[in-house]
Amino acid sequence: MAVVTEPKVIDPTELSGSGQIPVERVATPKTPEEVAKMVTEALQESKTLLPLGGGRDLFTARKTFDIGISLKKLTNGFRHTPEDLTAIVPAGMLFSEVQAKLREANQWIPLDPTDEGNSTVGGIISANRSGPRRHWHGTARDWVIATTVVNGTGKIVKAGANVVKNVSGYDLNKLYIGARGTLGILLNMSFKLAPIPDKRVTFRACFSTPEEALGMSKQINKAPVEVEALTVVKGRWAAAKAKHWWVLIELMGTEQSVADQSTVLSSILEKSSANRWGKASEDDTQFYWKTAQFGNDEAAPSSTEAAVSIPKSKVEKLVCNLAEEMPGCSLKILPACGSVTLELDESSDRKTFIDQVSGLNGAVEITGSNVSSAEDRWPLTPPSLHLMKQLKKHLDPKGLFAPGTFVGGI
Amino acid sequence: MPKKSSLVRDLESILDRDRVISHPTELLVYECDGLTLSKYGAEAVVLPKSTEEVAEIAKCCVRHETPFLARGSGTGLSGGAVAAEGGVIIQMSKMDKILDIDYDDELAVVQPGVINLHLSDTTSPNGYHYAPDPSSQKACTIGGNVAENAGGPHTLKYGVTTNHVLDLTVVMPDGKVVKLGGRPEDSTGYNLVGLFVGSEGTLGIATEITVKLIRNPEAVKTFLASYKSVEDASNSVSSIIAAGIIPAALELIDNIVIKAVESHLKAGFPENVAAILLIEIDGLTSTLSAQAGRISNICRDSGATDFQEAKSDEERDRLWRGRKEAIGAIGKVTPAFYTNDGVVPRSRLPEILKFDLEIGNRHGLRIGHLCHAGDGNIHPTIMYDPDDENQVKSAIKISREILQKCIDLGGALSGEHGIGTEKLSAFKFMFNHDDEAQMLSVRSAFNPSGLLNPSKIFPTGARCGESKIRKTVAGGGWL
Repeated sequence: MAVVTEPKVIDPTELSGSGQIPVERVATPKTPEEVAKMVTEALQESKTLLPLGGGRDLFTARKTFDIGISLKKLTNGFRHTPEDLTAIVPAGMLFSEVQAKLREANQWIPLDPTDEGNSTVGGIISANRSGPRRHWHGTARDWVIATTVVNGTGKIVKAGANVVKNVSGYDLNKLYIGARGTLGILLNMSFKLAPIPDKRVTFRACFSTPEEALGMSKQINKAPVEVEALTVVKGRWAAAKAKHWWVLIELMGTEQSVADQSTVLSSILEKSSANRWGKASEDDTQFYWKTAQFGNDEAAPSSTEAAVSIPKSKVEKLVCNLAEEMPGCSLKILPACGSVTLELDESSDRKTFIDQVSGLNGAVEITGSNVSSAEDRWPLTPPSLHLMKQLKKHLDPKGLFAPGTFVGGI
Repeated sequence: MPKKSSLVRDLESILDRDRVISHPTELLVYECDGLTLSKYGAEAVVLPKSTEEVAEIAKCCVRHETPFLARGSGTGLSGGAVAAEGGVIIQMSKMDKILDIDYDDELAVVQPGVINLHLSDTTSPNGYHYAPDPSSQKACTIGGNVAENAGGPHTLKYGVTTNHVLDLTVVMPDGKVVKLGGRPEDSTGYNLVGLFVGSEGTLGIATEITVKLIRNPEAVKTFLASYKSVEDASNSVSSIIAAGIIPAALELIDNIVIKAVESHLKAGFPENVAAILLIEIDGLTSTLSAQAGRISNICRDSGATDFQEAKSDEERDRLWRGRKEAIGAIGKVTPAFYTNDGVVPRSRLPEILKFDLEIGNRHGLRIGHLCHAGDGNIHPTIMYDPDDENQVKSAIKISREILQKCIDLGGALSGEHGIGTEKLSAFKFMFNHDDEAQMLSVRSAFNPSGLLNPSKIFPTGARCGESKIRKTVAGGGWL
């Protein structure tokens, strides 16, 4: 494999942030053409490939692969067009670096996934990751407008265009987002961008019960305020000694508008059953949102987490059941998105939990060091799995890209 | 009455006889959609009432090895809802029920034949609406919107159809029924809903569609800015976007269209200007005044000679009626017109509009503009005489050159109407052979026989069936 030895083959353990990677060799291509050449050679030699971003969300289903393709050096070609509110971003660029560049023009990709600073844009898009501001801005599927990938035949192919509205050919962007590299290797993506709001203010309110916290969330969602993020947290995603259910609310707008909205929100919270509530200082704001994303410093790292997606009207039912059945369970909820993340401990009755999610027409993804197969990770398979398998077969006919690591063993 | 084919007899065994149309005269209605330049003959048109009937029709067509496709109201502009290789058109107009509205989950489940505006009319009293609002929303169906990933003026802020569809029940090309997506926003696996929306009816036929409903805004302000040149107006659009302002809608209308509108609709557009911008902002009352001030300043700085706010709901409705029904007004001032759906990056708007004017002058044809300018979706409307063969050829040539220019400027072939049959030959302006092969692989995974809606989107393997340019009357297109 000529390209693997040039530019460089590195020891898998050298790849920062990725931990132990089950590959024989890792290659670090610098150009799309090098990636394409590697895929072509892998096809000829019947090798399997594992695309690698920052490694945060890497799942290998305890399988081994011939070659890991680290995209961290695929960083050329960034192009920001502020006057169009669009940007073309190479897959290997660090997400934090991209946001910093865009911020210079007061713009951003409105995604706020948990990121310690080593997540690549390609990795975030491949895993379809988002954060609490999803409440207002949605997910990557609302912001990616074009993609270029190396496909299963080693060709560089594109879909979409650098415009904000487009029905020209199939929207393959939607397929690649969240496909975890199983349909091809992402080379670059174009994004619609959003202006950064003039002002943001965070409020925190603490409630004794999930019913109160989620009831307040519903009330705020119907109030005349523009909420950029609203999350309900308990346990490790709140302060170490917090006994309550925290509702974190971020308002956005102009200075004047946020002041007006703050008055409206204060009036709602004043009349609520909150034990404590208030506008957060700048330090507290940073602490609350950092804790809600990463967990508090004193909590042990969670071994297993389940990310549940259910119809939003069912969130309260699920959360109240969980609070009763697993009273010490840590929870992070985006009520308006139907998203509930919880920590599963060893004593959790996983089958009952999964049945419960299934009964609510939900989807679940379980992550953690003891999750060893795609079936464990995605225990509820979708009714269209046969179509997904069919797609994989057509787009990756030789099964090159991370085989066996996705839903249903795709 | 011609003798019925075995296909038609089989279709009549699935549906009541009055829901199978096969008489040549009755089939004429289905020869084209909003693109009247080319026409195609179907062998039969069927009107199912249920998913099960659609599935049986699909199986029947497969048995007869006959092409088939779904059709909504036929308001598209790309020759997408036509039987390009003959066969059967499945007309979805009898599947027009709103099956469920769930305000707790902020969604509605509809059959594909539901008229777009009917859904918002139904939910508005409860403070909700369905965001995609194509100008044809009084006539177009949500099923058609899904096929074409339809947009509309307000999708600038709220997104196009794909941003508002949660799940789909789909009859596959082999007649099997499958559920794509799910009520939770993060359904597991590949995002097949996102792939399906905008696939122009080539991957399956949606028979139930779950869409998001969104809350009506607290306040709305609508403005009319007037300009002495199209270039000034388009510069204003670019400047508004560059300032990081995303209005709810940002539409550009030039003098040719203004005059047509005022002749027939009396919307209140000023006739003595080169172009107007129709600008709408919505949201919290407390945010709108500051935003309005910024927009007003930008417009005036870039040459607006007047900037007025609609002073009442009636005035606002009248302005929007002028915009949304403008295409009908154009039909009254020209014997025929051909509309183009190209898109450019928003900062390139001044260039493409200048190009349009030049090319119109060069060919001696008038071109009106009613652009979804904030999206860069330009919609030039080329006016021609269908009795003049040279003018017909020029109209086609102009549209093609505009598409090529859009691509040269970094844009795309279609903003909201798709490739259809119309832009088959332009597909290569934007995509190379490998890009197309990737998309064809996807089509093969869903539609291996190719019997569902053939000769659309992809030039490779497309045959132009019974296509023929005919003398046409003014088209009924919608932009």
